[in-house]
Amino acid sequence: MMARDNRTDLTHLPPSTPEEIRVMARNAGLDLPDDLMRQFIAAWPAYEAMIRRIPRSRSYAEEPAHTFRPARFSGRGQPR
Amino acid sequence: MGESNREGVPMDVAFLTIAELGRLYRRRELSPVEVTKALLARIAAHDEKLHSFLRVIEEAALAAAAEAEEELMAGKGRGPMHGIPYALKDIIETRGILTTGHSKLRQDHVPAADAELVTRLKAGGGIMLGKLATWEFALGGPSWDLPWPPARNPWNPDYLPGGSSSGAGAAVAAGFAPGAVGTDTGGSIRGPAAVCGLAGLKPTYGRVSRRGVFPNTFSMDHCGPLARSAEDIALFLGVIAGFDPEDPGSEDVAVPDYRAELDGGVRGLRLGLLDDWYEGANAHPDLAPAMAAAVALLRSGGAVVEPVRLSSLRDYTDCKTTISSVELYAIHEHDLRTRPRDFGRILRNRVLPGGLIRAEDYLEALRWRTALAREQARALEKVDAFITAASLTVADRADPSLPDRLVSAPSITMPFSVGGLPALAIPCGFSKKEGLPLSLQIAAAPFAEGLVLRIAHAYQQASDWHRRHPTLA
Repeated sequence: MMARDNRTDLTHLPPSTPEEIRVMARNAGLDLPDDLMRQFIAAWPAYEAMIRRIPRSRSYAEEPAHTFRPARFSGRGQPR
Repeated sequence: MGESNREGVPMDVAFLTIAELGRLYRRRELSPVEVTKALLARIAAHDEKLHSFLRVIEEAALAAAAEAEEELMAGKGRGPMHGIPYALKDIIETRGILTTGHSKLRQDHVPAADAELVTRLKAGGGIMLGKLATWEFALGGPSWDLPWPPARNPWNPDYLPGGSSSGAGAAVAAGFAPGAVGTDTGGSIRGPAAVCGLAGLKPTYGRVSRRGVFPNTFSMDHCGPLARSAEDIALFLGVIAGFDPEDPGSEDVAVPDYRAELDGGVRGLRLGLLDDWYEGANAHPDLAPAMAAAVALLRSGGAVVEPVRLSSLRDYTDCKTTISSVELYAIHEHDLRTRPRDFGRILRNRVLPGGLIRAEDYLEALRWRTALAREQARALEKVDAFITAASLTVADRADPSLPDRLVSAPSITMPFSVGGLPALAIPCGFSKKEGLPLSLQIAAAPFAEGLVLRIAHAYQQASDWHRRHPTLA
């Protein structure tokens, strides 16, 4: 979808409905009591909006800000 | 008490700084036992209203004070924290002492070992007074549905001390301890320091060991001190900083003598002012004038202050919170599945979203973090440090009905969490209406804590906001 319309985030998507949130939670293995699920359904939209604001048009060279440095585990190559 | 010594230092023990205590110890005008007894009495008299301590370890503190006193009398100095009382946020593990994270989930947890930073403080002769209130596991708060009440702000107990190092902010501001250790993932040291009128430092990621500290977000957790002045932060940091091979995030970078770097002044320094972050409808009306006065003071000291622009607070807050949500969920998943009712409501509803965030969203946020960190690094090629506010508002009212604003309200501390940069909050005024502290934030390149503290010290040599203390009823 983004390649077709040049959008760089997902803010155009409609918010999930309460039922969709229940399904997503179940798919994630969350089997919450109904009162706690209702609280979560009220909390989720702010997080969903946040995730959809993340820019998504990066080049392949833009790597994540976590690093795996093998020397750390061998005790060698520590910067000084 | 109430007297001045021959140096002109006020002898209200409750508000002596770490530096002042050290000088008085060396002159044998005051002893660690006297100080510890005075602070324990003050805690006993006033903390019932502030709830800053979850537990006070009186007997152990007095024993440590007696040992420190004996060593100091014998001329065996162990450094700047020798004989200095301090307290710890209750996510920092202490051998044989209950460490709960302010949570029902760990209300019986007694660690078998000290956190690395506790080991360093013990070796440095510090006197631990006890364990401090926190938002649940350094995230869920303020909460009224936990086994202990939330801490209150000593400037006005109708207000909160910020979070998540809420007890640390409250205890130091109240004169219960000259310093405390907190943790900061998105602003949890700087926020309480800001709204309690204290100095609070989030060091560079990897500067202080996190071993033995309950995690919030592996890739953004920091431990650091809260105290009354930049000088005290320098003394405290020098003891707890340093490489720990058992902490995967720790960096093997030499620890300088931060105290020795303090007196360089600001003449000729180029300071990048991030004023668009705190000028606007979301900020307290007294903040921009207080910041303008602080900038004028730094300019009068010879600093060159010029505007700098980075990405918006909204961008930084979204990036940080997406990453944190996923890492938090990974940490708490088992308990969420098996005992969700043992979480406080706020923590549960802040952690659960991480279970619905997709792997590609998390990785896109991590790629965004790279871009944002590079943006800060590029800006720091043109200026020596950043200057901005440390909080957009004064302390929040202690009102359980206030909505959760973790995601909705952009944070002015999170940019330097994303960048992993050292960032310090120091007081720069008070609001007119509420009479509550306002705060300035200084940040610089990785491992430039010495420069951050030097700028703050120069500001504090020319101002007295950090010398003001609340009066406890």
